[in-house]
Amino acid sequence: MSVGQLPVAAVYALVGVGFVFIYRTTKTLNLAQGAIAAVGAYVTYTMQSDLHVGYILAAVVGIVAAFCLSAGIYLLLMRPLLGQGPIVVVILTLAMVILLEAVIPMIWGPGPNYLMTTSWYKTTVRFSSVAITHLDLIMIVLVIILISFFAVIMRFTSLGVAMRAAAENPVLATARGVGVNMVGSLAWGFAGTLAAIAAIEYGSTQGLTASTADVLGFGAFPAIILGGIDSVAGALVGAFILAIAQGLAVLYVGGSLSEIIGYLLLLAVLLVRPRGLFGSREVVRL
Amino acid sequence: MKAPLRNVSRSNSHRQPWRAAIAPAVLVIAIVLAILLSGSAEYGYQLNLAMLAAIGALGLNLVTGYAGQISIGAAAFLAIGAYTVVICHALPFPIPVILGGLAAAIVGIGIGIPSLRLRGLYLLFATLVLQYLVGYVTQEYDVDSGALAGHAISPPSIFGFSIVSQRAWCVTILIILLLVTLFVRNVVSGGYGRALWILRTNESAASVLGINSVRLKLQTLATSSAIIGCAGALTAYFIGFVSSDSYGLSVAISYIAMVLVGGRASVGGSIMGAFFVSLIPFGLQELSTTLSAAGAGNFIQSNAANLDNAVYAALIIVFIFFCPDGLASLVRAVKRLAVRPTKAQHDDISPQPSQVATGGSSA
Repeated sequence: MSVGQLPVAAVYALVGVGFVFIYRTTKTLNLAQGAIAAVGAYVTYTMQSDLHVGYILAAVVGIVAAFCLSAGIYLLLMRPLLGQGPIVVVILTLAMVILLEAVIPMIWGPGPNYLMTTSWYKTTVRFSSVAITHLDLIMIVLVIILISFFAVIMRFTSLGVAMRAAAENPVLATARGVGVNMVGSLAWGFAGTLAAIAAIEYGSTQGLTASTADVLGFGAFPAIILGGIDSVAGALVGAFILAIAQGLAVLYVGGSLSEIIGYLLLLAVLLVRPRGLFGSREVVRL
Repeated sequence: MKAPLRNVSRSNSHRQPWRAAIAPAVLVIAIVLAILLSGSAEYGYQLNLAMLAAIGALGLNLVTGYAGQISIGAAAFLAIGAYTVVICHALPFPIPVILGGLAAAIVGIGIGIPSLRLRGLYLLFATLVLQYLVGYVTQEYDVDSGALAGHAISPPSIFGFSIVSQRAWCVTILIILLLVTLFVRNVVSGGYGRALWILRTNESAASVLGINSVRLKLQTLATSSAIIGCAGALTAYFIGFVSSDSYGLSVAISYIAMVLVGGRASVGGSIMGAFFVSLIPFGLQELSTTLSAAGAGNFIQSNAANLDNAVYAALIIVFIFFCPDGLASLVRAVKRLAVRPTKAQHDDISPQPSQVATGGSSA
C-alpha cells in the first residue's frame, strides 16, 4: 500500500518543496503554486496536441513556461508589495489562483485533457504486490534527485547563502551585494519548475481538468503545514504522511473522505503542533 | 459590548460615528427607493442580492479589515447559515435565521480557538480547513437527504405577511442591512473599535495596553461569523434554494474582493464593495446581451462563471496596487477636495498606508 501511494507522495513533495523554497527566500506563502503548475502542464499539452512535439521536449517547454510565469509573478506583482505585510501578499496569491483557474478553462476547455505518453512510460514494474509504471518510477527517482539537488544548493552554495540572507534581512542583504530580486525570482522560478513537473506527471496519469490547480495547490497544502512551512525535510515527510493517510482513507472509510483527510490532519496539527513536525520555532504564541 | 479600552485618547476619526454613517445610508436608501419606484423585478432581484452580500461583507470586514486577520471562510459561514435554514425551516421565519447566525458563531469560535491564539496566517489555514470540511459535510448531507440537486425553501412569512415579491424582500433586507450597519458601526467606533485598531496596527502594543488580544480576536470572529451566517440564512430564504455547489472557494474570494474593493476597516466601504462586486455577474450578462449583436456575446455567455471569477480576481489585484484602501479612500479623497479645495493642495490626499489607516470611520 505504501509503495502504491509513492507517486502521490512524489507529487505532493514536489509542490510542497516549492512552497518551502518560496517561504525560505521571500517569507511569503504562494497559494498560486498549484495554478502555476497547472499552466505549465497545459502548455505541455498544447505543445503535444497542437504542435506535435515529443513528450520530453513538450514537458521541458511546459516547465520553462512555469518557471517564467512564477518568476514573473514574483517580480511584477509580489516584489512591489512585500513591504505591505503578509495579508496583502497572501490575498494577492489567492487572487492569482482564482484568475488562473478562471482563465485556464477559457483557453483549454473543461477537460480532462490527457498528456500523451508512449507505451514505454506506461509499462509497469512489479514490486511484490504493487505495480508501478515507468513514469511513476522515473518521477520518484526525479523527486529524490531534484530535492536533494535543491537542498544542497540551499545549504552549501553561495546562491543558497544569498537566498537565506535575502529572507532574513533583505535590506542588509542588498547592502552586502545580494541581488534580492534576482534571488527571489530564482526561488519562485525553482518552485514553479518543481510544481510543473508534478503537474505534468499528474496530467499524464489523471488528466488535466479545471480543478487540477486546486488538487495540486490546495491538496498539497496540508502536507506543508504538517511538515513545517520552512523545512524541506518536513515537506517530504508531510507529503508522505498525507499520501499514506489518503490511501488509508480510501481503503477503510470511503473515497470521498480521502479528499478532506488532509484537512482533518491540518486541523489536528493546528491544535497540537502549529509549527508542524519540522518547522522552526517562529510562531509566536500570545 | 464591554469596551476594553476606555482610557486611550480618542483619535479624531472616532468622534462622530453617527455622522459618518449618514452618507452611505442615504446613498443606499436612495438607490433602493429609485429601484422600488421603477418597479423592475429584475433590478429589484439584483439589488436584493447586493444588499444580502453587503450584510456578509460587513461581517467579513470585522475580521479581515478591523481585526487584521485573513479569513477565507465566508462561503463556509454562508453555507452554515443556509443549511441551518434547510434543517429547521419548520420553525417560524426569523428563528432559523437567528439559529443560523448562532451556529456560524459557534463554528467560528471552534476554529478560532486553535488558530487565533497564534500570530500570523493561522486563521487563513483554519478557514481553509473549514471551507473543505463544510463543503464535504454539506455534500454528504445533500446525498443522504436525497436532494442531490439541492433543497427548496418555501418563502418566509412574518406577522401573517408572506415575503414573496421583490418589493417585500427589498424592504425586509434593507431593514436588516441598516440594523447590521448600525450594529457594526457601533462596535467599531467605541473603545472596542480603538482596541481593534491597536490590535491590527501592533499586536504587541495591544498586549502592553492590557488588551487581551486573543479574546478580542475571538469575539470579533464570533460576531463576524454570526453576521455572515445570518446573511447566508437570509439568502437561502430569498433565493428559495440551497445547494452545496454554491459555496465554493471562489465565493469566499468574492467576499474578500468586496472587502478589499470597498476598503478594509470601513463600514461604508463594505457596502460599496459588496454592491460593486455582486453586480459584476449582472453587468457581464448585460454586456453580453449588448455585444451579442457584434458576435462577442457568445464568448461571455459560454464562460459566464469563469469570467465572473476572473473579474473578481483582477479587481482584487488592481485595487491592491492602485487603491489599497478601496473605494472608501476614494470617497474620502473626493470629500476632502470638495470640502477644503485650498487646503487640499497642502494635504496629502493620497490614501494612508493601509496598515495604519483608521479606515472608513470618516467615509
